[in-house]
Amino acid sequence: MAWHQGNPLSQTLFTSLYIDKLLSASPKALKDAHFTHQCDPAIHRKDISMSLLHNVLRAYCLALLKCCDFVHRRIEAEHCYEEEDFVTHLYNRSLLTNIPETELFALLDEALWWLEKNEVGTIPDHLRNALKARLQFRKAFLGAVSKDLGIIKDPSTIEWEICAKHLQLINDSHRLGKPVERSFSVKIQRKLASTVPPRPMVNISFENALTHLKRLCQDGADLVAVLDFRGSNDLMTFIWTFQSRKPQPSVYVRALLQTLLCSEDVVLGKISVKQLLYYGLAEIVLPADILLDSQNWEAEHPRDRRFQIRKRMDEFATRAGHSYIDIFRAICQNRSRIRRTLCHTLRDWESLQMDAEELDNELRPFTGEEPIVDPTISPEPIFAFPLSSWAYYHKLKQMEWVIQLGFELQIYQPDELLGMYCYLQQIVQTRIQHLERIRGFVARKLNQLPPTIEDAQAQKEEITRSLAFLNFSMLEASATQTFSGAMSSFYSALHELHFIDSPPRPYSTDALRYEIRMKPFLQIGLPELIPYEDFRAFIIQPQDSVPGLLSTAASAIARLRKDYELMGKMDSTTTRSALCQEWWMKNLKDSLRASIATGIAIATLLKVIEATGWSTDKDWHSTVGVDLMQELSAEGQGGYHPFWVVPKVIERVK
Amino acid sequence: MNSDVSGGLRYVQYDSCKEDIYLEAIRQIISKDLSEPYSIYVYRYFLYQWGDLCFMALDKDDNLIGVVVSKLERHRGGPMRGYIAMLAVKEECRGKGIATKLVRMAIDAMIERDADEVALETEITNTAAMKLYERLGFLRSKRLHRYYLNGNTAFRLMLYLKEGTGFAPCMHDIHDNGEAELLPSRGEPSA
Repeated sequence: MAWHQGNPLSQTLFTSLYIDKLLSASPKALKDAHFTHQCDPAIHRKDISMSLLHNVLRAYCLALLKCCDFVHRRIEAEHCYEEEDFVTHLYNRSLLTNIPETELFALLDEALWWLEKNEVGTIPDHLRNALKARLQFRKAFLGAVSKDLGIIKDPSTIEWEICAKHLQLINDSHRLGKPVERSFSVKIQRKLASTVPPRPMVNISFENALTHLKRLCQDGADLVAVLDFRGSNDLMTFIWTFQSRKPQPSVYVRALLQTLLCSEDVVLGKISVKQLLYYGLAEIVLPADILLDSQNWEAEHPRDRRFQIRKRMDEFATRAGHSYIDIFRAICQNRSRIRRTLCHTLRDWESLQMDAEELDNELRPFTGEEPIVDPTISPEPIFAFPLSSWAYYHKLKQMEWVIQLGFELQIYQPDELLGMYCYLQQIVQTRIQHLERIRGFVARKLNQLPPTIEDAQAQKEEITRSLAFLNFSMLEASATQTFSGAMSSFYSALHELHFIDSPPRPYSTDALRYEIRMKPFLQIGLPELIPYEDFRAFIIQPQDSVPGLLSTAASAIARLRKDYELMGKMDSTTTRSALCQEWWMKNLKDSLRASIATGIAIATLLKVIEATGWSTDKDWHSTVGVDLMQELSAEGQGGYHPFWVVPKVIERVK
Repeated sequence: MNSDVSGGLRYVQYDSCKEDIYLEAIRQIISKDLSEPYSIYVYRYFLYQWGDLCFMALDKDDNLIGVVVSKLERHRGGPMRGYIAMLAVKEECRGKGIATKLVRMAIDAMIERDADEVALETEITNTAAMKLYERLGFLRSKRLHRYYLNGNTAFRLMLYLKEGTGFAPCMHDIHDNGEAELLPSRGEPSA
C-alpha cells in the first residue's frame, strides 16, 4: 500500500527478501519463480512449514506481483506525475508482465485447494481461514485490476465487493500474525538498478494500509457508475464530485478513470470526443440546432449551406474537442495539480473563445440567424454567438474553480480571504449574467418553434431540457454568489474590528501582492482583471458600518438556505447528478452546514455588538471578550466545506 | 567582506576564498535540519556561482550560527528570479530573528542585483518558516503535492519586487512540470 501511496518499490515491496528471491532470476514463466533452487514437491509435502512456504506464500507473492503489474501498467499509461503521485520505476525488474493472469488464478486456486485439503493436518482452523482469506482477497483483487478497461463491456462491481468482504476477514485475523522484520531489508536496494542513494524503508501501519485499501476497493466499485453517463454535464458533475471526496481517490483509480474517460479518442468506450463536445454544446447553447444537426453530414455540395456549416463545425470540433477533454482530464489529477493545471487550461480557453467568436461570425450567413433588436438593451442588434458563449461559460467555470481550490488548498492567508471572496463573487456574478444571456436565446428558440413541423415535439423537449439545466446552473451560481457576498461582508466587518490584521511585509505592497495573487488571470482579456486601485475601492467600503455589514451578511445567509433547499429538491436529471446523487447531496449538505455555521458566527458577533456597542479600536474585541478562530484546518478536513473558510466567533467566559 | 554586527552576532557575506573555513560548517548546520540529503555538488552549485547571495551569522568565536543560501537567474527567459534554496539556524539560537535577518540580507542583495521576484518552497507543516516569509511579504502561490522525497507537500512562496513582474512573458510548458529550481535541492530546512 505504501507503493500505492506514492513511494518507490525500492523502499516498499522490493525490500521483501521473498519478493527479491522470486524476481532475482528474472522469471519468464511461473516455473522459474521459486524461493529455492531445489523444488521437490515430495519433500515439501512432508514438511508443513516448507509446504506453506512453497504452496501458499509463493502463490500469494506471485499474485501480489501480478496485481502490481496491472496497477503499474495502468498508471504508467496515463498522465501521472512521477515522484509526486506515484513512482513508476521498476529498477530493471519485471512484475511478471509476460505471465498471463490465468496462471496466477490457477496457482491461487491450487494453494486454496491445498489449504482446504489440509493434507498435513496440522494447521489449526483459525490460521487456515486467515490464510484462505488472504489468498481469496488476492484472487479477487487480481480479478478486479486485471479487468481494467473490461468494465466498459462488463460494468459489474462484484470483484471489488468480494475484495471488501475478504478485507474484513483479514482485519479480523490480523492479530494472529507476527511481524517478521528479518524478512525485509533495505540492503536489497544495492542490487537494484538505481542512481538514487539508498533510502529508508517506508513503514506504514496496518490500519493505515487497510484504510487505504478499503477506500481503493470502494472507489473502484463506485467508479463503475460513470459508464452510465447520459451527457457531458452528467460526466463533468460525476468526475468533479467523485474527485472532491475526502480522501481523494487513489492514484490507481484516478488513472483508470482517466483512461476510461478518453482512450484513443473514444470517451468511455462509447462515443467520440466530437460527440462529447456536441452533447456539451447541445446541453448549454445549441439544443435542437442546425449547427449540430446530423443531416449536415450528408450534404456534399459546397453551395449547400449545410455543407458550409459542417465544414466550420468540423473545424471547431478539431479546435475545441481536446480543450474540452482537457478540462475533464485536469479534474482527474490530485487536488494541487487540478488548480495548477486549470491555471494553464484557462489561457487555452481564452484563445479558444476568440477562435470560436470568429467561427460564430462566419457561420451566421449560413444559419440565417435573426438578431434580437431591443434598443432598451443595446443600440446594436444582438446575436447569440453560441460557440464563443459556450467557451466563455467554461472559462468562467474554470476561473471559479481556481479561486475555490485556493481556499481548499489553503493558498490564501487570513487577510486575503476578504479579497478572494469578493473576487469570487464578481466572477460568479459574471457567469450568472452570461447564463442569463444564453438562457434568453435558448428561450427565444422555444418560442419560435414552428408548431407544424414533424419533429417539433422532440425539439421542444430538447430545448426544455437545456432550459432546465440553465435554470439550475443559475440557481447554483446564485447560491455561490450569495455565500461569497456574505463572506466578504462578514470578513470586511472582521477587518474593521481588527480581528484580522496584516503582517508588516516590508518588502511588499498591496498592489504587488495583488499581482501575484491574480497571476492566473492576468492574461485573461474577458473578464478583464480590474486594476488594483478599483479592486481596493471595491473591497473596502468605508460607508458601511460594522452592524450594517453584519446585517447584510446575515440576510444573505438566510436567503442562501432557501437556495440550497431548493437545489436539494430538484430532480437529479436536471441537476446532472444522477450518477453520483449521494455524494452530490453530501456536498450540498456540507455547503448548507457551512452557511449555517457562518450564520451563527455572524449572529454571535451581532449579539455582542448590540449588548456592548462597537468600536474600530484595536483592543475592542479583547476588551469585550470576543475571540476569533478560523476553521483553517488541514486540506479542508474538519471544516464544513473546503471552499468556505468559516470563522468562528467565541465569547470568552466571564 | 561585507559584515554587519547586531545582537552580539556578526552577519557576513560568504566568499569562495573562505570555502575551507565555512563550507563544512554550512553543510553540517543545513543537513541537521533538512528532510533530505544534499550532496556536496549542490552546495558548490550555489556557492560557486552565487556566493555573494549567501550570508552567514557568526558568534563572537566565529562559530556558524545560521546561514542562507540562494541564487539569482532569469526564470524561463522571463523575470530575474531570486531563489532561496536553504536556510538554517542552530536550534538553540532560534526565535531571535536571526533567520529573518539572514533572509533580509539575501533579498537586499538580490534587489541590488535588479531581481524582479523571489521564490522558494517550504513544507506546509513548517509554520515557523511560513510565518517568517509571510511577515516579509511573501504570498503562497501554489501547493506542490508530495514535493519532497519524504512525501511531504510544499507551498511555493513568491515575492514580487517590481510591478509588472506577473506580466513578464515566460516560456511555459503546459504541464507546469519544470518548476523545481534545481534537483535535488528541493529541501527547505526549518528556519
